[in-house]
Amino acid sequence: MNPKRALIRSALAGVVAIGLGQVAVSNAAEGEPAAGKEKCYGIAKAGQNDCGTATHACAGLARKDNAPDEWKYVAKGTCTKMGGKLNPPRGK
Amino acid sequence: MTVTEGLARLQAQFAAAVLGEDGAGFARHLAGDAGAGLRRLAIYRNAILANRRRALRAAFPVVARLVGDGFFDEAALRYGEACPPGGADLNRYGATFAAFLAAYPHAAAMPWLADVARLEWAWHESLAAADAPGMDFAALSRVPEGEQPGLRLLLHPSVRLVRSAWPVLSIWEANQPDRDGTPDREDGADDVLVWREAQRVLLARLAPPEAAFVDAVARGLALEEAAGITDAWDFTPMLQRLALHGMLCGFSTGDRVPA
Repeated sequence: MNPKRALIRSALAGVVAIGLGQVAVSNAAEGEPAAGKEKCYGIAKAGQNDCGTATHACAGLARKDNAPDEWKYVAKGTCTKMGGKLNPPRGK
Repeated sequence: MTVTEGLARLQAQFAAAVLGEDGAGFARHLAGDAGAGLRRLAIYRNAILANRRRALRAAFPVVARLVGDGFFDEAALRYGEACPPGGADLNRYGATFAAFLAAYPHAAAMPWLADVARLEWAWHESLAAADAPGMDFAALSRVPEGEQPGLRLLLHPSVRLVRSAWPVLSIWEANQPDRDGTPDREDGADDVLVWREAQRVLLARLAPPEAAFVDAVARGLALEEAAGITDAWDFTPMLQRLALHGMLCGFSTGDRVPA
């Protein structure tokens, strides 16, 4: 048997051992929530459950958004801390 | 024109009036005087744009933090004009935001920004990806040795691989709510594995051969080909890691792509 096939055979044997030994764990990881816990994706991402309009002030009048001020084109977040610091990529 | 066609046209005109520069042409369909009608249209416009903005902010919190509110809201507005939502589910809105940012001239000074957006979208997709039954390891154990090299493994629907020439994971981590935005690591090319486990989305930086292997498996290559992507590298630990974390959910033998 060539070395690569031997490697594949042993790797699969290892995976099967992991898989069969971990049935309980993998069920917990996917599909079967732990007892007493309701499955709810929104938990992991705050705000996603909000109705989009619930907190929005519908009384607001339309703004003319088509002529933005220059400041809207200038990043003012935490990236200013990174400005000029991140090194250009190597290789790729 | 049938009644249905007439209604469809009226709805299209309404949509154009709400999102367009001005709805003057639509005013004749509105009750009351034209000025009041147009102000009411403007309320719709404002609500729609706000909802789009909020949807993007929910999907791209790190990008929003990186660039700040003014920049983000303006970019979101321009993106909405260029690529309006394709459906009513705003959780699916933003798939092309990274591509938009890559071409957005005002983001040119932040060449890594689009890749951060790609990572956030992968996170977002992973969270909402379908469930899938786990791998049938007993069946896998019965695959005859001669068919093992031709095995094609199916990754769980929540698995994503984001490959970047920039330290995107470092940037992402630095901009989580409990961090001040200063990356721990300022160089590197990050290949990030994204997957869902116990209903949480997890991220891990992969070494180049690991990423090449996962990429090959994701593309449906046979195990022998995927294992040969990088010479003199043992794919066993990476394969076991995929198994251990529930990232494998099926396989096929022969030429059939796993389904």
